Amino acid sequence: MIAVAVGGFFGAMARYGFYWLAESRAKHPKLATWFVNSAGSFAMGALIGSGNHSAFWLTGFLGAFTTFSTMALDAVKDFEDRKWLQGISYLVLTLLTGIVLFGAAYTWL
Amino acid sequence: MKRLLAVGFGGMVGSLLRAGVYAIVPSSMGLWMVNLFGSLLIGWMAARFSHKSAEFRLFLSTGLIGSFTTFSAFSADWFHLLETSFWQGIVFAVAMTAASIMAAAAGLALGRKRDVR
Repeated sequence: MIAVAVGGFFGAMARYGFYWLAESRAKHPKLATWFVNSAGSFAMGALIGSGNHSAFWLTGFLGAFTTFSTMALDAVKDFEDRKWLQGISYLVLTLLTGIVLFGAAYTWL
Repeated sequence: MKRLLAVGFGGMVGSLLRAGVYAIVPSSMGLWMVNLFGSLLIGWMAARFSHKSAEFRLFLSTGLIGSFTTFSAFSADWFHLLETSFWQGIVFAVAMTAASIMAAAAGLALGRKRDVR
């Protein structure tokens, strides 16, 4: 319980750090969502693959570091602007890098 | 610093709520619940709270809802489904993504409606 709370506290702040970077450097906050979800999936695969089931890291830190709702809202905003291709490729890319990195880390790390 | 802490405390609450959902329902169903409900809420909040302070929005949207929903567990569930059946995995990933997008769009639409009270 405390592990989840503390992990969530740091995971969310770490995610915010990447938003801050993406906005100040590249003006593309979506890049940050893509990055945290990909990196978080990789770390999740590495942890589960090596038999680590720590609530601090899995449910807390990585659970909060990665986000599904922001990705969904990002895509909706693209669709509202009629940027269909951009929205679809953002989703497909995020889903693919997430699953490939999770699988690679789970299998080989 | 204030903004960073707003996100952190939001993340703490969001993670605890997610863990609470997992404790009540089986984890595969819990993931659907947190991601769909969270997407609905983030859309609603984006429309409803657009005039609120940055700290308020960072606490609720980026921190709390952002952490309530999760992508890493989604990748894990997807991978394990793919291992058993390729198409089951594909259907799962497409269905959850499409459902979350519809939930976020519905939330935005609800939040933009004028208060009827």
